[in-house]
Amino acid sequence: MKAFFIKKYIVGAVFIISLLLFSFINAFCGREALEELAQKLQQVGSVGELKAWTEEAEAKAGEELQGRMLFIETYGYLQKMMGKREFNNFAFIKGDDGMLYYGSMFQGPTDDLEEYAKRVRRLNDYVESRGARLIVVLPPSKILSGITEVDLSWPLNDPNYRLDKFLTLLQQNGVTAMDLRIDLRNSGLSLEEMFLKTDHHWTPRAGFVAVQGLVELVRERYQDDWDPEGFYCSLDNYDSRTYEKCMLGSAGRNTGAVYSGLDDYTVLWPVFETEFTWEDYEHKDIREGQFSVSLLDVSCLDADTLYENSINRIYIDEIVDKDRITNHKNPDGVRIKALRDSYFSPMACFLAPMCSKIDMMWGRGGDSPEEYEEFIKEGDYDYFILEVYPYNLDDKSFQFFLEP
Amino acid sequence: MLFSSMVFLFFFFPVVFGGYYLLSFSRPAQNLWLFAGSILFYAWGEPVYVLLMLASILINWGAGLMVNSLQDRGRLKKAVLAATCIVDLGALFVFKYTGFFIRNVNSIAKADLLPAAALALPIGISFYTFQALSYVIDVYRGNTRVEKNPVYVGLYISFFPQLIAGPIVRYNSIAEQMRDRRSSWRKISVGVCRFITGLGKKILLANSFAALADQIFSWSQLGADKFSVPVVMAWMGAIAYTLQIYFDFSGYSDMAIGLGLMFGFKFEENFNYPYAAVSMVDFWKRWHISLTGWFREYVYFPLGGSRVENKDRMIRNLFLVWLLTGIWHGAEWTFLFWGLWHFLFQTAERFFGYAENNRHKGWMRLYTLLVVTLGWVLFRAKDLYQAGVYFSNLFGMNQNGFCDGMTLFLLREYALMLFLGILLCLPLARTFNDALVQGKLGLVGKGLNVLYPAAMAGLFILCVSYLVRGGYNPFIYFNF
Repeated sequence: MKAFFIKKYIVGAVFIISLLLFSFINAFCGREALEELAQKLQQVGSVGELKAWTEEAEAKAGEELQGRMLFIETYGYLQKMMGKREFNNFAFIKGDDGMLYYGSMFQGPTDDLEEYAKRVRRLNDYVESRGARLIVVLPPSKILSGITEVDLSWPLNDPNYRLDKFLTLLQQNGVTAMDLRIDLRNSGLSLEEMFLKTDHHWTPRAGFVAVQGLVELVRERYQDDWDPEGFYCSLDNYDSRTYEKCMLGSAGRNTGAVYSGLDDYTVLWPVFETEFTWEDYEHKDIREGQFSVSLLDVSCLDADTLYENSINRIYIDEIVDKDRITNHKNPDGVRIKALRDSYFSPMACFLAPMCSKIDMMWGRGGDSPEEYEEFIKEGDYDYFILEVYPYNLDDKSFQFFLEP
Repeated sequence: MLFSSMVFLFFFFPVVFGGYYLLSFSRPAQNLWLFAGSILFYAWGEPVYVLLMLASILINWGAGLMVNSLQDRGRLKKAVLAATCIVDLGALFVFKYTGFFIRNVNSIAKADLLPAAALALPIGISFYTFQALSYVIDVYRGNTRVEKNPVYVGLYISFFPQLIAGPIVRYNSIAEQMRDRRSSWRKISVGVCRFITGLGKKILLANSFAALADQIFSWSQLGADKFSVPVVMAWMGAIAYTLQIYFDFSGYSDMAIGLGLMFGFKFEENFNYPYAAVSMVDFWKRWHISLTGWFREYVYFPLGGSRVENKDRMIRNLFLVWLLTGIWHGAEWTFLFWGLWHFLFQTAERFFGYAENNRHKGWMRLYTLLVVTLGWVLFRAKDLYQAGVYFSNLFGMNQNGFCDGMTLFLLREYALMLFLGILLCLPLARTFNDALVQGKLGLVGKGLNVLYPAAMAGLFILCVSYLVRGGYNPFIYFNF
């Protein structure tokens, strides 16, 4: 009986002392966040705001917890020890290939897609009325039939059914759409060369294949050759460097590196003469110079920021609300405007040598349909690209021309 | 605020605990500190309904004083008690059952006779209302001394460890502790261990089973035309929910009891390995003991209980108690039928001499588990229609097949957790612990005693790791 209580005394003492100490350290180290919360609390004026404040405080307490990533790694380690493939309530499923796939919920009906297709049709009509052309670019997900070997009977979030349906609807509406699944499948790349294990994004190499496909599509459909000598679309004119085990993608930051492993990241850049200006209107940042200075930023490859940084930021900061690339070497090149997401960043960079300018807006970053429509209507352009990631085929990505 | 949240673990609790022991020189100051902490705890999640709870505290405190002052005036005393019950239960009805009532009236009338009510359910209202009623009734019966200090009544009703999901503490079981309780290192230590155990049950086990059960029940809800839930998967979902609700609720009770101990209070046990029960009557002696005790004390016995000459009256009494038990859990037909399901089996057991005619404990346990598990399907389903669909899935009557690739995937993923869950539902841990305490395990026991603190520390770190990850967290009984 004595031993029974002694062990509990020890647990009690260790727990109380550690908890008080850890709480003090958390409060001390997170004092800025606490001060910020205290200031916000003083500004609370309604019950709704108070509830929002408590939710923010809960979220902050988790985000600011000391040793947060160590706890996440502990969780990931335990999951790995148990041989679990399903991670965190089906948020991710780990395939035999080590890839992290989105976990499943039922995909839902596809009725909404008809409405989105109609909005794209209206966009197409508008773009054509200005003498320009619309191309809808649909990149693939990691679940690429013929390439991905993951067991499809697992609870995976497979967007292909919705993607197929949307492509059919676009075709029925007379909109030019590019199914990049075909280009990537025919590229000869393996899944590891196309996608990052720990992230939902594709690799720069896959983005380059997409650019080759887009140039080909424009040539075939519109007899418009953006690269008549095949110079810009030839991989021979690009250099690459692989940074090994340097990346923990968005999925990996959720699961921890112990569970997911780390990705290699291969950066691709042109070896020919270039001169660009990249203007980031969101952060009021301007970068000028050759490709590796203006469009690339390798500072995010810092291993110390593995858990905080997205290495996809390497190409024009991954995604900003509005930005523009101006090519000073090709002032007569094609003018592109794009409503896009982060998949488009490497594409934009590899398209840039063929263009005179590329204006971009994040397709999910606007505040209102008017903001998108203003972007669509302002300035001159030859092509309008609407690029949507397959998991983003929802209302938020099609907030333009809502009314017929 | 949730016990299983960062704000509670690393901000609220350390401050309240530290402050409480800094005020050790004065019991009233400690009680006032705990009361203030409890109000903050509730207001964190319910900034408006905290006023409702404060009103309830004041009304019941006042009612207690009135009932006490009317000791010689029986009728008036009874009238005050009746009025208090009407006010307490009225508030419960308004906030919990109005929507259900209006929906059904409109449905029967096939017209929008009454406008739809959009009242949110105040968290824990069923629990604190029952505690408040317990106080006034105990004073009325003379089972306890009236409390003149509103802070003490407030602390009894709102004490944060058991405020939101019990155990439902009856006033006479805690009245003495309010003024005269002893805090000791032993109590704190045992409380800490109990709290960590409860946290582990909730975060490591209940939340894992919740992920599985939620997926399968939501798939079943989609309908067989969109997603077919095969027989094995349906049973897996039912078992997962059976385990989830046990570990979720008993985990909460463990945490509540543990926290109570840390502040010097001793609450009654709320669970006693219910899935090891040999009958439905036995099950309810082991499951949510505080609720069963409340209904027995304040509803069943006043109605005459089992000591009535007429068996019809006994059935009526049982029926009423189980009808109320069902309704108490939620404003939906599924809960009502769940209560009646338990009534049916318990009545049958009593009248067909189940306990006398059966000797094989294994079969008795199997029967009990089956009835309980099927009952939980009814309890978990969104409505009666969905319950029907799920039952059809369970028995292969939905053209749903027996097993498929997805089922095998889920089985493989959750086999270890299901095995662990089933193991920990059985009183093995208690038997093992008893053997350890009695020194029957020899050297192994000594080794385990040495490892125990490390294991508990590891368990807590694992819980925090799961918490940092986010994901499923709410307690099921918060909705009641």
